[in-house]
Amino acid sequence: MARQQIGIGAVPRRPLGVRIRRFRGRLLVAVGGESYELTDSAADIFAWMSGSLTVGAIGAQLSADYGIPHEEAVADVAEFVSWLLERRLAEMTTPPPAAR
Amino acid sequence: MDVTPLLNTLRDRRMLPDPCIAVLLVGSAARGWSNSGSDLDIYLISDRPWPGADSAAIALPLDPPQVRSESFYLDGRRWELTYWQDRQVDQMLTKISWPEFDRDVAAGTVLVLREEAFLERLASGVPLLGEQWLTGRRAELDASAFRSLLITRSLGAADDAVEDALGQLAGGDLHSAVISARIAFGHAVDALLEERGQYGSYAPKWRARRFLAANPQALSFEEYWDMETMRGLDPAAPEKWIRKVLTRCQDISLKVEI
Repeated sequence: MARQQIGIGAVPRRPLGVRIRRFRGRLLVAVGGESYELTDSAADIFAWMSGSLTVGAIGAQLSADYGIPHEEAVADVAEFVSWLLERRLAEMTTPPPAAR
Repeated sequence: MDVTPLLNTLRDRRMLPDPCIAVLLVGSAARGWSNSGSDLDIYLISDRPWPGADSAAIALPLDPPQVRSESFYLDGRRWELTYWQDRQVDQMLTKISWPEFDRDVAAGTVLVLREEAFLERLASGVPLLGEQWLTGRRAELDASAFRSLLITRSLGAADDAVEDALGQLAGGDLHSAVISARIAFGHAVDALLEERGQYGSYAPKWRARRFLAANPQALSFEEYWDMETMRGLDPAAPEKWIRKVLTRCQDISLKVEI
């Protein structure tokens, strides 16, 4: 199955039913009996997915915090959000007017 | 706090064990939260069982499988004394050791309420006797998995209530969803407070007091109090409030380190 393409203006958020634990420096997320350990950068992206930031804005934050080129950061965020969507660890919401 | 009158009362009434390892004022009086109607709760530690003929037995999953309790009234105030044995304290600390925690026993089943209360009160009690014993036991408690165990239990309970709320929302049972969301929020806040060493979630009546003592950065008291008192809930359309509360629960899960 082809991975869903995520636009820069898309606004992802964490579904409310996802279980989250910070344990011994690791972020673990679980839904429907499946659990995953996120890397530091993935954990940050996941934390920023509050439903108020676009993929572009999250990418800008990632670029600033990790010192990677902006375009590369946005692409990484889009790829990761797509991965989360496939696992029901993310859902898309309507972008706020200012972000459209 | 001058504890001498308390100790003298126990001595005069021949209610100190022999030998006596420690005597602790615990509960609301020890924390400065008591009022004129509050009991005075006192723990007495010995290496022998309390022989008081009038004492009541309280069953516990320890060896020996009980503690003894005595109570009396003085100047209109109820004194509640509980006699523990030092080896029972050893056993409770073993239950919350890291090897036990790593066995992944369900966090809610490790301690019964009286054991949890004892350990919580170990952290906040005021010694009338046995200050050195208390210092040593507190160090053992700090090095144990007690904090992680309680956080794990609270977050698990919060997740369960969130799941309930979402299911009830989906099924159109909005009244139940409101109650479940409120329960979830209580457990999530408990986890936040436990992370900062403010235990005692078995007594939600003190949650606001514990919140102020913990002063967590992840949630302001004002926002906590708004949700605790359900401010902003529109009874005719509660879904927005429910989702806001559940989102805050998830935000807390993201921040609390087990």
